[in-house]
Amino acid sequence: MKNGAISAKSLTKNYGEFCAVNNVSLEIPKGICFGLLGPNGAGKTTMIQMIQASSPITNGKLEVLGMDTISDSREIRKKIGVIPQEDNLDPDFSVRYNLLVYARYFGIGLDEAKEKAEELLKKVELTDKADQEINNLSGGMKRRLIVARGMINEPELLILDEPTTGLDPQARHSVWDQIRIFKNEGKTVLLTTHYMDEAEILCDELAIMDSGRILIQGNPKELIKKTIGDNAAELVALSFGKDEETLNLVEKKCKLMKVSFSRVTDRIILYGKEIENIISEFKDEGNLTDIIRRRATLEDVFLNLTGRQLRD
Amino acid sequence: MQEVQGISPQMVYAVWRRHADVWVRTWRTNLLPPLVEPILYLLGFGFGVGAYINEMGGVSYVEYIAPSILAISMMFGAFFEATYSAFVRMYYQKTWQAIAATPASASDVLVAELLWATTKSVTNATLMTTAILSVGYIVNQPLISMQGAILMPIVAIPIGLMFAGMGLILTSYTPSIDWFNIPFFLFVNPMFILAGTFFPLSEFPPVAQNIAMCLPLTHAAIVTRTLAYGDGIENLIFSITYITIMTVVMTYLGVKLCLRRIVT
Repeated sequence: MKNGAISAKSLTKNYGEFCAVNNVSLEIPKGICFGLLGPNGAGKTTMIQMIQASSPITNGKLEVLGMDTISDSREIRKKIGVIPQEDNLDPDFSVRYNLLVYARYFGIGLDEAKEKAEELLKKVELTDKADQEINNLSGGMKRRLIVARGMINEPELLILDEPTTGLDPQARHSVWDQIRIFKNEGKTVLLTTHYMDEAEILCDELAIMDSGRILIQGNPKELIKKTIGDNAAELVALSFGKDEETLNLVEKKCKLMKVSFSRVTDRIILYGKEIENIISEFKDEGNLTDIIRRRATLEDVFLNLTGRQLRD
Repeated sequence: MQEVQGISPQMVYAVWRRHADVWVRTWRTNLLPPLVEPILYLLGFGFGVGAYINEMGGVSYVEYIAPSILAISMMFGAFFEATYSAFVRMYYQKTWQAIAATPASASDVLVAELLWATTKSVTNATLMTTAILSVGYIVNQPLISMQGAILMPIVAIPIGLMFAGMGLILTSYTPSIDWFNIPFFLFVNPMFILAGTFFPLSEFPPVAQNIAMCLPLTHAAIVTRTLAYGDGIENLIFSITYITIMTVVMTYLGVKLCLRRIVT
């Protein structure tokens, strides 16, 4: 695939005995925003580290921007921007100097770096903070600075590992804006996230991973439609201890009518075309606290695919 | 794999510059120890304790310890930087991780650590030599030869590299920053006292002398002493060979073992 941004063929990564990424094949075309989703330990960060050519692959083939991650690792890193999960800004330097020092690793001359730094600081609205120490910044400001830093080399591919974790809504939207602006320039974005709404809003295409494999891949809206349909409904029995019987009845009925559902502590979530049939059967059931009709979301797809068990 | 770990001089320089930039930013506090420490040692031990000692190893006590504290500062400069400071950059500040996302490779980062630790050795040696010369000038007793003074920063390069390599080996292994206390108390601090630095090795029983001759600081101190006294370097062949071999082995192992820790 010549025009692809990322091309993985039978990609495998082992850490000793543990297989973090297991025989994954993936083609990401240029110019889109691609999301990698999955519970903790699914292999997302390992994928990203291999794609940024800083972690060697164990088996298979991985090309980024048409270059091999093993033989052209430096060239690849020259053309990508990485926004890591953790804050790794240099606490010894000011906001502006963080960008200037980082530019040096890309061989950007000081004059050019200064110009770019001003431009990027303006873009992420940190011009006022240019001379501040890193420790004086809020979490959202740090994140914006990391985003700016990741763009100092005018990358063709931006890789973001959980870019909005722990941010307030304002900062979150600011990061989203930067991603959209970047994509509108025809460049490629690869991001991981635990927020399904974020993935649904930003991603043109996404893959859900678990245990080192890709479970499903496609456009978020189509994925929802294909796997669980457009609509969902939640039959809630808040005092579920007492009303367990009711939920058991609903469950029985769903099984009988072959309606797909998911049972969570105090409720049963229904999916598919038969929703209304079930609801009409139970709408007068006094033990149900509430019946909520809603749109099916990516979170439904995700939880149905990867289960509700805790991972950590 | 080769390319992931290759070394690029420009990138090594870029990483080294980052460390130098941090040093320059806090230069006032950085200059203090290598300038004040030797003055304290020379006053307290050299002139103070030395007043009760007629001579040591054929020279006055203050002349005996002047080259010793130079060797010690070369050791501490590099060793501290390649252990505690490198670990802070690797583990707490995630500086290495940030750089790994740029064209610089993990090997570039580690080689830059070695060179930066060595730079600390050289600056320490230079500043201390200046301080010792000044003290000597004030008391009108040249404590080290002029020729030796000029050569001190130069011999600090291999000596610094040797200790930097040893430091990186420890950094590749250490589970936490507190763990460094163990090699410091069991290895570095005993060496500081027992490597012919504050009294000649000839005071030791032969077995202890042989053990001391295996310690890197012993040879560093032999080199600085010979230079300080302005003696011929023909007597240094054994120590120079020792330092050269140790430098190669320690830096190689330090980089290799650290790579195994950070490139996974």
